Amino acid sequence: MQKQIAVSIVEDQEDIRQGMQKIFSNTDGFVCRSVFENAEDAVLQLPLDQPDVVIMDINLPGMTGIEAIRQLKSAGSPIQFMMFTIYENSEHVLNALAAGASGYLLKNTPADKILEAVKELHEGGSPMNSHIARKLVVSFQKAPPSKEDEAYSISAREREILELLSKGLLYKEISHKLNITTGTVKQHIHKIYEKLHVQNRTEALLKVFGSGGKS
Amino acid sequence: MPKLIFWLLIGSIVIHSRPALSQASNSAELVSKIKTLPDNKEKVNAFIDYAVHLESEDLDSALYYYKIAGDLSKRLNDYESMHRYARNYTAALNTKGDFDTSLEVNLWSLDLAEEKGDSLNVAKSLVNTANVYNFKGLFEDAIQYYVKAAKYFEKLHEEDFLNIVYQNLGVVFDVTGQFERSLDYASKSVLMSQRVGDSLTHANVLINMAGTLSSMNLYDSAIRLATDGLFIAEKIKDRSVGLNAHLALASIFNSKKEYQKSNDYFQKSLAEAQKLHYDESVSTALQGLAMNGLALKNYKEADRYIMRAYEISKRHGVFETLNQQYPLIADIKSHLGDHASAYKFLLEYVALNDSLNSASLKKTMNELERKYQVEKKEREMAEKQLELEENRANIQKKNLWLAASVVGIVMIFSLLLYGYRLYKKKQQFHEQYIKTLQKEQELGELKASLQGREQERSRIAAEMHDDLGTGVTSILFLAEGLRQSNEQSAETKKIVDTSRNLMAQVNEIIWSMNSEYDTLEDLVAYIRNTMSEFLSTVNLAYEFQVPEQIPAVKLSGIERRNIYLVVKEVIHNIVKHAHASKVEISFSFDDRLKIIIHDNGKGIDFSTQRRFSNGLKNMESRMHAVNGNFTIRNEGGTLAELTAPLSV
Repeated sequence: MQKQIAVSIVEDQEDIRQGMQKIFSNTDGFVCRSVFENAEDAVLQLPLDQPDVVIMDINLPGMTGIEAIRQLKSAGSPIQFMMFTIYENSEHVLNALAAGASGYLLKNTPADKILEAVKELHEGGSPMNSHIARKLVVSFQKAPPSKEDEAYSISAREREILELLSKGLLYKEISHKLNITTGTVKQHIHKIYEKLHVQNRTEALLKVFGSGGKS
Repeated sequence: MPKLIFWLLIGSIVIHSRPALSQASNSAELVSKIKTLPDNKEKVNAFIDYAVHLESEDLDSALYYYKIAGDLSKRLNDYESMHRYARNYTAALNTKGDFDTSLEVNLWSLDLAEEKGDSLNVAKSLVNTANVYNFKGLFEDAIQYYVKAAKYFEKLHEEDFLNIVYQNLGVVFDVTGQFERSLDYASKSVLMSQRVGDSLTHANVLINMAGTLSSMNLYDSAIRLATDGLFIAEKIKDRSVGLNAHLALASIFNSKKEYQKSNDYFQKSLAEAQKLHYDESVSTALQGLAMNGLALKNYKEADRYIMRAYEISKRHGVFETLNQQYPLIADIKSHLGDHASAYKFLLEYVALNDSLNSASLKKTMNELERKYQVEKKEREMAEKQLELEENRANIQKKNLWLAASVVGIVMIFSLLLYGYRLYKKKQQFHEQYIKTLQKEQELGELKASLQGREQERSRIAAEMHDDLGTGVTSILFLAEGLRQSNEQSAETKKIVDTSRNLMAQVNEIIWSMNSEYDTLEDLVAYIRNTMSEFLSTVNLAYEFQVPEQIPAVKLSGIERRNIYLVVKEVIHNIVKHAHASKVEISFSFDDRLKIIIHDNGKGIDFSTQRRFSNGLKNMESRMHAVNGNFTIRNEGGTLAELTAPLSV
């Protein structure tokens, strides 16, 4: 038997929350582990529930979804976070990705596409659009080039993919162009997000420790 | 040669409730307890128990649950659980090396106990506070707090706790070089441990005493005590204490210059520390191996070990350890002829010491200079024996220059560091403020431009759309929920599709109104992205031709919106009416923006398509509104051409 993907949902709007819950409960291969209407409860309970993927709304009463992700991720949580947003081109999406989310979903995404995206995220793929790609190109250019360690700066291939994405190419177009599978493209994107998290954490560290006396 | 100080064992007062059941079932039980219990004292305890359970394997998660426990205990204002949280949390923080937070929490629990007039908890908090000072290297503060605590415990006849204080006082006096007093306290502790039957403390203190004796060059006594400590550790099966005994023995043999024996013990310690995931001990063992390597002139091997140790300490930011390692690294590097690195690490050493003792800056500088001079002399002497008279003079000159520049750099560094810290503090304090200022500034610049008013309107409109978007999303999910639970009905499908389209349109409006996407490059990418997605879902072959270079031109919201909507309408019309099997979309940017959309379908019959010509008019007027043009003609299918001016 195929292993089920356990999903938790954090969403303050009751209709949306219940709708989502039904979608996951009624589909084979998925199980809805828990639902929360605010980030405070989610932060408390999620490490205990240990879902594979959390669908996280951004605008919540009190603590934001981004802050919740930051807290959970900084405590070393292995949970994958999928932001759930009305608008694709929101500044929040980028902040959420930097905080530790590995993907985002638009709220008008059809149910079957939601399921597909969650499955993909669970299997190590991540979505990205041209706008976010462009921002990331800039962000990684700003990163100190001296870092030789892999965890920090992106590889030439990853940069290439980001640049193609920023021009508006779809994953499958990029896979044609670079002669790789779309699965590989997705994995590259996933790695880029991970590096973004590392970069973000490192910046935070530098803020705490000061210069560290680099020559 | 620098002396290796292995970590002396400082006893903390922790209130752990050790699980009686097997680990796995206990963990599951705790989790279900946490889930079902209301917010009460028992839940705080469950959180703490769960954290205790996690601590040895996943320190970060443990810290997380301690924090939750603390927050809850504070919310409940439950005195006992607040203390239990503080004891356990600070012990974990000390393991993590986060002494500042630990100190804060300990002082908080001290206040708490004093307010309540609870002498026992006052004394416990005093000990734990002193421990943090000890870890931080603030020994005078540590001694002060230990002595206070000792008085309380004596009065309360709490021998177990008093014993821990004696043990720790022994450590502080050792570290500050007052060996006689250290041995004095340690002996008291040994006697007391034997009387109350506390084997753990007994073993710990014996190992500590061995360290002290070793510092006094009394190696044989030191070895005897460490061996006794090891024996007890093995008897009570405490691997952590056993590891420390091994490290102590290794360190003593190093001091005794029996490097081979020392290496054996360090290797054993290394293996055990790795098994236990004690990074700090791993680092200590590696450092010891490096020191032996240096003594045995196996410089390359020493370099390998010390760099591994350095990596670990750097990762954990343990200043004390780094402080020992920097000069050692410099020494090894210079033996390998890598003077540049040696110099670099010495500077790191200086900078670190400076930051450790900013209060007595001047004292530190003098001390550092002295340390540097001593080390330098040692090196010089080794070199002198080998070099000719002439070379020696040269080296002296060079070293003099080096010393002078080090002193200069120390001063500059201190000033910089001081200024930097001030700046950082200010920055932290005003971070939010600065951010707001920056945003204001950006906004101000935009406002100053011709589009200022439009931007302001857009922002307000975007906020309104937030509400709209939320509402439509609700409808969408209500309908989706219906679809999931009932049979598929045409109506619900329609509601879903309509709201989804509405949302897509709102998204387009938001995009066109957002001033962040105001470049030609954005427009091209957006068209390309959304249209490729659309064309792939309807299975129509397509090809985009976009020049490599896109001029850096800004477009207003209305320009982007109109151009995008016209392109979208053309492509939707092709899909609906043209019966085409392929469409080509090409961009060019000479003096104007030109977009050509060309399909291979049946073309347009202009005479009969009245409804379509309305659409044409609409597209024309959209392009005219942005000083552009729109034409459409039949050319082996339909060819639509949009142009718009590009203002540089």
